[in-house]
Amino acid sequence: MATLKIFCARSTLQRLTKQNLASISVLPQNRSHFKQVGQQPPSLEWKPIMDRAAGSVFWNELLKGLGICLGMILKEPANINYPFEKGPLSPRFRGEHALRRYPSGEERCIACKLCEAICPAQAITIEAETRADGSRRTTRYDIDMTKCIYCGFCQEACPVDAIVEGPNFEYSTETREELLYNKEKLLSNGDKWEPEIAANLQSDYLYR
Amino acid sequence: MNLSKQYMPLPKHLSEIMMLFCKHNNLRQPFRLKSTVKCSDISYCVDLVRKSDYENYLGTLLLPKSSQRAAFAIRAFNIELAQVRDTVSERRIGLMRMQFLKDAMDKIYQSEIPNTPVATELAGACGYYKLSKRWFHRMIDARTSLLHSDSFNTVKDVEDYAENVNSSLYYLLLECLGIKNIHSDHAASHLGKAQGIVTVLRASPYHASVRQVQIPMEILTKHKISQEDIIRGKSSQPLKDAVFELASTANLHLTKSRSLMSSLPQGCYLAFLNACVCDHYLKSLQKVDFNIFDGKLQQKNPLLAYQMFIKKLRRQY
Repeated sequence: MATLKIFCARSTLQRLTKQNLASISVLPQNRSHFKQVGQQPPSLEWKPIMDRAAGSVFWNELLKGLGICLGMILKEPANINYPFEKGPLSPRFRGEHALRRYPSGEERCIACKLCEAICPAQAITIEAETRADGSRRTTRYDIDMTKCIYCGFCQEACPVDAIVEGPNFEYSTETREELLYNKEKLLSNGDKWEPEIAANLQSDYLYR
Repeated sequence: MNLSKQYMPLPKHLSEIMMLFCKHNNLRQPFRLKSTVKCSDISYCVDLVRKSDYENYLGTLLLPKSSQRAAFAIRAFNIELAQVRDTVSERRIGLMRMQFLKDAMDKIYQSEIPNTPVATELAGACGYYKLSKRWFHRMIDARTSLLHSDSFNTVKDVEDYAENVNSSLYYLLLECLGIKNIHSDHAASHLGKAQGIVTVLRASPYHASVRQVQIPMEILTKHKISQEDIIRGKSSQPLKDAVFELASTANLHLTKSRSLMSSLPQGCYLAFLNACVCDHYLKSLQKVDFNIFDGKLQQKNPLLAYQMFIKKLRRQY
């Protein structure tokens, strides 16, 4: 940058010296340290020319390419045999929803409606009533999976870890209506995926 | 309270705890709805404490059988509170959960118990031992206020927070043990503060991984450490000095708490057996030259159960 400034200053300086300050001694600049950064032109000496010719006669590039091919054949393939093999999933992956139960078999959800309140897409609908034994449970717990944006807020807001977004991502359906999940569907999801969900939730919290 | 009549502090549940032990030999046992193990509310609490707070689980097992059940309920409630901060991505959601827990606490004292295992157990314990609501509220309020501010300004702030969060827990445990004594409260207060400071130090690598620094600003500015250095996990001499300063404050509280041992009423030491955990952390911190990012500090102490048991035999903490 300094060189550049001096270089710019030089023309002004020259102008000044030409005008009235002829006696000022101008510093001579020797620029001898140029570096070539572009591609070098091929040398036209006899030896390099012969080397290049020998390279193409003996198929150097082709053999190199074949070597890479062989290497790739021996390597483990990058793609997986999808429906039978699956890629790794983060424990925080947010997939299909599930309603969990306590180990005793009782539903966890106590109809506090925090998930319904926090849901930014308003995909959750809850209706609740008090049961005969005095406990408050949901009578209706619907999630519209076509509205859901998978933000995971419902899971975060749930104070009893009832609604979770499990690791399942394969639940495509043929009709739209099948994506309107009701409580039975969510509970059966929970029963099906409980081992995975429980393993994902497990961690040491308190020493943080 | 209706439930206090049914609440049996001497547990039938001990057999259940033993069965849980057996069950835990293979953790990934598939979930069965009609499980042969009877899963009651207390076994849920025990399970929660065992999974999330193993050190205090060991400590609680050493309590007398008559107060174990209540202690597990209190510990489980503490875990529910502690989890909030780590599970939520937005403060608003955390506040909602805190409000829910606060409401649940209020409802427990108005005998309309929310139908969750922890709340049911807690309601039983509150009714039987007449636990004060104040301590629960202090725990909730302190954790709620930490949701608002991500860091501490002074060492005093850390101490206050620890006093509210950890010492309140000890006061409740003392109430379960039936001890009401000014010296035991004094010891609990100091022990809670020591534990809180140790937790701040111990959690630093984790907090750094989520771009938070809980080491008080006052100390950081005094030693001219930038938060970014801690977040990047760089251990430098100034940071070691800062950690040393905090650790010696914790040690001071721990020694103070232990010095009160002789004046405590009988059986009080049982509630404080977890002092071993702080002690072990502070000693290993000294061994690694106050480098909080040393991997050795993240390892579990395999001898903890035996150390606690020996302390119990010696009637010390």
